[in-house]
Amino acid sequence: MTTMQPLPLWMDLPVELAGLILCRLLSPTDRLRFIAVCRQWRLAAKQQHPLPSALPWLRLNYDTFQSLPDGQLRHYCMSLGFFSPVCISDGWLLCPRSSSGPDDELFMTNPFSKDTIKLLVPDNCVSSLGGFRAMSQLHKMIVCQGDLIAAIFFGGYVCFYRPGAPSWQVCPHDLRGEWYEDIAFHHGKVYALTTKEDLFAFEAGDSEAAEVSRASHVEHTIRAVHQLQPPTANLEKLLAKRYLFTSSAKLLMVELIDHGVPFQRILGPRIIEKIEVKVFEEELTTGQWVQLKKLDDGQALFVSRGCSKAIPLSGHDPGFQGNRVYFMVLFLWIDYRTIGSGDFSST
Amino acid sequence: MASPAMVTLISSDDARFEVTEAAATMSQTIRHMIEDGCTDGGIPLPNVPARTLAKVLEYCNKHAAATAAESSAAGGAAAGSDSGSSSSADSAGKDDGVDLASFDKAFVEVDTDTLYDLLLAANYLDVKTLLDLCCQKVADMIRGKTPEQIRQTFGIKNDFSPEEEEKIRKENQWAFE
Repeated sequence: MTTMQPLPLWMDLPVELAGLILCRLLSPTDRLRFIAVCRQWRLAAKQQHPLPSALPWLRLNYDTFQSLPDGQLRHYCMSLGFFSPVCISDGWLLCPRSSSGPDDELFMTNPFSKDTIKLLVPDNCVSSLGGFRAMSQLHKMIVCQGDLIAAIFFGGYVCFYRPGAPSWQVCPHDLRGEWYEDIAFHHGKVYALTTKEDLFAFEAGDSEAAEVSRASHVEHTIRAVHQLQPPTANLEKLLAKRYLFTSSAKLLMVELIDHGVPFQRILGPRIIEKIEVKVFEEELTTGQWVQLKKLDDGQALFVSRGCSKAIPLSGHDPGFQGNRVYFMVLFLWIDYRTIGSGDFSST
Repeated sequence: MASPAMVTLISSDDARFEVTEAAATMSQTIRHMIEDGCTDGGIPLPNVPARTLAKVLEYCNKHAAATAAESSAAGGAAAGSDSGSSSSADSAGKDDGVDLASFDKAFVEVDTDTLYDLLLAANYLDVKTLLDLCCQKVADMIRGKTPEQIRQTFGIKNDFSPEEEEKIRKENQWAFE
């Protein structure tokens, strides 16, 4: 042999060490590439369970995504459009009906798991209540266990859909001037948070009993304490944004209060300096939100309108650390790089 | 203060290294051997060649010294004690922290063969912070590369059969490009 062959050291990399290295790759792309290198590395990846959560991808526009932490841009290359409400729930993308499918059909697709869920356009059920085209009123949609889909619409509807069902199920609403801001699936129930920080729980089980229970009974889990506050505080509170998170054991609420001049946000990212971030934990026994000083286990919260996620971070990437809230400003033309990071421990 | 306790380490190729106990016990493997009283005539490390052991000890000496400086700066009465040396290296003082960080960064700027040897030695000797450092370095070298670029970087041969290749190609056939 005339050419120098490199020593095959790295091909024999012990599985446990390969696993340690793989755990430090936080981008799904890097992980896929890692397992395509050689047999030994592939074996290592198979034995590595569970892998720490990968960092989320940011959706920048119609079909462009940015992977964190490497910042690479990715284009979704199926010829699909998306609805304008950003609707990515843990890897799920909401797509309009396929060209071949019936008119009243939508589907959700998960490019990572390659799963697809077909669903009916919720127009009929929602328009019967509000008289709007439902999809333009969609605020958030999530996929719960067993493919059950839950959604909130502007105006205060929580609706459920099970694939194959003839229609959506609309849950009764009695919000008295409030509306739903966010929903999350947690410990078998769908929780809906209102603008006044009330929390409602809906049964999300598979059974018929759950369906009945969902339709007839909504558990008012947390009753918000509405204190008298100075008018300015009320305005800020009114303009605050709230997000629900499921962390490992608890349900969390993040509140972003904008202390800047209302609507100044469209002028640019300077406004971010004036945003106050508070995190609360549900205390179901007392039915109250309890403010947290610190997040558990190096958790980081990634906040955006369509999808919020709590991810425990190992601290291997200096750009993304635990105990922080990362929020993404998705406001028409605002630069996608406007990801604020608040060091939560200092608040 | 009495002169620090020293131990002798013997590499796989019979080279002898005399180091402080504080530096040596950054390795949990060596710490256990010392605790078990197996130090007479030196501690044999049959898995680590001299070249690699010298490099590992350079790391341990630097970190143990930084830890010692930190604990004496903190007025620590722990002089001479070596307990928790590896874990407290993380919490070294600010200046030391910056110094150590740049030391660490430079320390793993080595060729891939040396990095592999360091990785295995850090694992065998159970020097947690060095193992973390090496794994992170490898991860940094992998990040953003295609499988072929990774193979080139680390001198890895593609050993997949055509069938496996096809399976992987399908797996990697992203809806994204």
